[in-house]
Amino acid sequence: MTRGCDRPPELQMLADYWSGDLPAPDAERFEEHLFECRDCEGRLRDLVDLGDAVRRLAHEGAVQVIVTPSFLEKATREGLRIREYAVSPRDRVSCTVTAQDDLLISRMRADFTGVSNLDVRLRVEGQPDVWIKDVPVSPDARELIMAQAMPVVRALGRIVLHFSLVAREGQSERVLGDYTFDHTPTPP
Amino acid sequence: VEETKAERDANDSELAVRLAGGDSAVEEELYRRLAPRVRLYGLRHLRDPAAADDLVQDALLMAFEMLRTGKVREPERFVSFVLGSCRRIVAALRRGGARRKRLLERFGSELAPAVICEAPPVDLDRLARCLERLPERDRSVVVMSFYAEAGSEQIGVELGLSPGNVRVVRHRALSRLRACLEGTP
Repeated sequence: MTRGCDRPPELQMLADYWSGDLPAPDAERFEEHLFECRDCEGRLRDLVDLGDAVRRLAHEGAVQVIVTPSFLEKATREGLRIREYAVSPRDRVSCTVTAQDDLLISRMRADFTGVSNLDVRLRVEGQPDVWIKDVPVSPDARELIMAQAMPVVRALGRIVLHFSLVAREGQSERVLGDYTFDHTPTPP
Repeated sequence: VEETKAERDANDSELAVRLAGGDSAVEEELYRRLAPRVRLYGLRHLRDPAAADDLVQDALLMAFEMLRTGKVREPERFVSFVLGSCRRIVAALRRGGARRKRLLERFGSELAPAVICEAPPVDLDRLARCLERLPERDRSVVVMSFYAEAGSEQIGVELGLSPGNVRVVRHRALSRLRACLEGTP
């Protein structure tokens, strides 16, 4: 048992280990150290606790986040009830969220070929535009999948939300699609 | 009280040697030390709290029994022996992994309560606010890492980033979350 670790691992190394990104020989060496070192056990425990908390918030739909098909597959495996609205450019869709829904997912279809920098603009009449900058998306993707923050959506009254996907190339910008969501709250 | 303090001051090897020599008083302390490490190992490799708990039971019950009955050749290297036991058990579970995967796909939703079964020792409201402050890209990478339990390669493919970039973003995001939770800028 080490009394105070003389070779504490960096946070990046711990995250790589936990995510399976460390080469196998390095992971095995770290495990041998982990089993001998109470300090490193505590460091890894802290990271795992943080990861558990992030997972719990994602499970509860607590924050807005750009997600991918593997996120939705995991949510489905966990038995979450997912309400989805898939829209193409220029679509207008009526939407809501009910007390039974666990996640609210917006799937905005577009052609992201050649797009290296993507922003999302949210426009609500009478309010200043909200920009979500530098949104991650694969150039091969055919849609941007956004998990909405359930506490925020549940608090919305009747409202029209205009989303735009905007590709930025240097100083120029190109709108990939405009999407309108007519939100109506569902009575509890 | 003095005996307990002495046990706590002893290193793992010393406790294992004493237990192998018949001093059963140290068994609880040694188990208390090793169980969290085995559970972390189990969580890392099995990605399932219930399976990690089972690993703690299976690996430590067997290892302690072998230590008590003189079947561990080098008691001073008992911790390495436990790690080896964990590796063998996980490898055996992986060999049966295809069957487990089929069962999970069929019954996964019924097992959902076991997936998140512990209240994490992190202030969730505060963490939610900290997550909201992260850049969109960082938040996605962190959520994909811990919720979808995806590695850098998969996340990179799905989000249009290189694996190296995913690792950098993940590290930066975790550092920011920690600082935010601790109240430092």
